[in-house]
Amino acid sequence: MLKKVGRVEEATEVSSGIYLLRISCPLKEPYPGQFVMAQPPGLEEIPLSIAGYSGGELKLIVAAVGETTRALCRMDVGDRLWVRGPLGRGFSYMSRKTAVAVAGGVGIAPLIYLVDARKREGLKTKLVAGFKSRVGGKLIQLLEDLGDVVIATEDGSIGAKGDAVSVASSMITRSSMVFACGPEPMLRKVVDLCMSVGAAVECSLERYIKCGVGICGACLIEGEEVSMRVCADGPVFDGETIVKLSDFDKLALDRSGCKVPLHGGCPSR
Amino acid sequence: MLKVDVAGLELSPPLVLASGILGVTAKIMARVSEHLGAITTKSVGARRREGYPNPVVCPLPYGLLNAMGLPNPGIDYFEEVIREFKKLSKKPIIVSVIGSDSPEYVSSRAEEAGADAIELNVSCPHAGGLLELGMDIEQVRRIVRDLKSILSIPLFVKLSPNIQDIGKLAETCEKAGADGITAINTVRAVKIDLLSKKPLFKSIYCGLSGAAIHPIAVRCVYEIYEKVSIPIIGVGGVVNWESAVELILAGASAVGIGTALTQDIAIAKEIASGILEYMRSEGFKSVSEMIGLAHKR
Ligand SMILES: Cc1cc2nc3c(=O)[nH]c(=O)nc-3n(C[C@H](O)[C@H](O)[C@H](O)COP(=O)(O)OP(=O)(O)OC[C@H]3O[C@@H](n4cnc5c(N)ncnc54)[C@H](O)[C@@H]3O)c2cc1C
Ligand SMILES: Cc1cc2nc3c(=O)[nH]c(=O)nc-3n(C[C@H](O)[C@H](O)[C@H](O)COP(=O)(O)O)c2cc1C
Ligand code: FES
Repeated sequence: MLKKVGRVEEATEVSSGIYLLRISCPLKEPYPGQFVMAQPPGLEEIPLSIAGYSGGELKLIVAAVGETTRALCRMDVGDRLWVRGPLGRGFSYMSRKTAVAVAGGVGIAPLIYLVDARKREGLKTKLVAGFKSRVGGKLIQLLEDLGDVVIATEDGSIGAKGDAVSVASSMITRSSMVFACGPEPMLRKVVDLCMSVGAAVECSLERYIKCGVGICGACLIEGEEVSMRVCADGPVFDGETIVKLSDFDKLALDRSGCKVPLHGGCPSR
Repeated sequence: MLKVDVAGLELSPPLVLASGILGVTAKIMARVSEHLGAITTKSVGARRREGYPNPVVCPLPYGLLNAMGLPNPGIDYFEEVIREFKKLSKKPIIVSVIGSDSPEYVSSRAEEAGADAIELNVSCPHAGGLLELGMDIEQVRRIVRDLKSILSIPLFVKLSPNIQDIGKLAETCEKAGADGITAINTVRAVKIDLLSKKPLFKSIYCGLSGAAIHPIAVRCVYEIYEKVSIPIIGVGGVVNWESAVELILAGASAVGIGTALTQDIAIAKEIASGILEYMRSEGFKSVSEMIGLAHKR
């Protein structure tokens, strides 16, 4: 996947510190769950989930958390950046089962694309989007435009009170197909719930990404008998695989290749 | 039929994972070793290094640029990785050692941990001062001698194509006691970013690998084979069985695979069966019959 030049068409703050970026950039048609490596000129190249793609226009949902993401969110219409992708393996988004998408925070990004891609195929999806607290009106609008959406906040300031998993639990049955993205403690709850109910589940995971093409070994997530490259074997993994990954919600490689504890959640959030 | 002896290491098939490609944890090395004859670890030093900040790669239509910057956790951590690999896999593990960061200390710790061979990296074109080191024949001779005096496992020296006379350097290594040569490392390159109008990589220099460098690798292996009698592991732009066989005919006893793993992590399986088919159709009974055949005049 060669690097392409993307042109910013829109960068809007949809909630405090969360931006919607529309970038015109012709890519090979991506699958929901795949990601791109994005690089504003002169800064770092970072992984971002594809939050939408159609007619040569890429959508990203970016949380401004550090130097590169802040620079991306500050870009003006007409600014250019490098885009490499689509990379990785996405969700089984064409599943005919009753689909429930469960998002924690900015983990909403790939699920927006998933719901949209399913809609285009005439497939319905229930989306539960969980946040810590109140989020901006533009983000709520963007989610409600997708269709069947429940918003949950941990403090109950808007929507249902509770975390996304507790709110979604009543919708998940044996015949569900659950798609999830968010911090790992939350994903663990989703996987545990789905395993106990007998529902199929797929989660998009994060680790530090360097090459993005499966050869440097920076992004490994492992278990007793498995070693997976988040960038190439993932970022989406099914529940059967995740339960074998003892690193899940516990350990990650640091930038030198040392396995270290994952401090309270996603390595990158 | 695909078995070959390389400086005492028994490789079957004659395919090796190139250094710096996934050689990070024991489990991923065990996973890729399934279809390979041996694996080489990422280059390790005495001290922990994080490598350069992103971007660290840039894919091209004909290959890949990288400036990883030799990230590694240091041998004190990595020796456990070597031990764990030995429990998971029967395949030989070649530990790559950074030539400019206490190679004697690192190599002896690696040997103690169970390394089957050491590969001395004096050829990374963008980090650790290795390109300069690899051009300094006297220094290379000294390090090889020092390592040979303390090691009882085979020592390979990995050479750079970015030098005047690779055959002569290989000959120097052989005389200093090296048991084998690995060639080639990446070709030194620079990428200019059209948007920032500056070099893309923080290190300015980067290394070119993949299909584009295959003819250079063949040239280097050909020249080295003319000068030495120790075995050569040919690396550079192997993307299919044809490119692997070409290196063997040029003089390689075994072939390393790196960048091609971006296409398929199990590509070695396909390459091995292609080599086997070629051998059958050409009437070869062993890999050793093919090594350096291109030199018979
Ligand atoms: C597959 C994948 C998909 C992602 N999708 C999104 C998304 O859709 N929206 C979004 O806002 N964020 C997403 N992220 C997280 C995003 O990549 C980081 O927030 C971003 O890299 C931070 O860069 P920074 O320079 O702004 O912050 P920094 O200050 O450099 O870092 C902040 C945090 O981000 C992590 N981070 C930095 N560089 C990387 C990297 N190369 N790979 C992984 N983590 C890194 C750091 O470990 C740290 O925890 C995704 C990460 C992965 C692995
Ligand atoms: C991402 C990447 C990292 C590498 N890291 C190392 C390294 O740490 N030590 C080393 O000796 N060679 C390293 N190399 C060079 C390879 O081992 C190999 O010599 C080179 O890539 C040519 O082979 P290929 O065309 O099959 O990739 C690296 C190559 C790549 C692409
Ligand atoms: S980031 Fe290099 S293997 Fe995944």
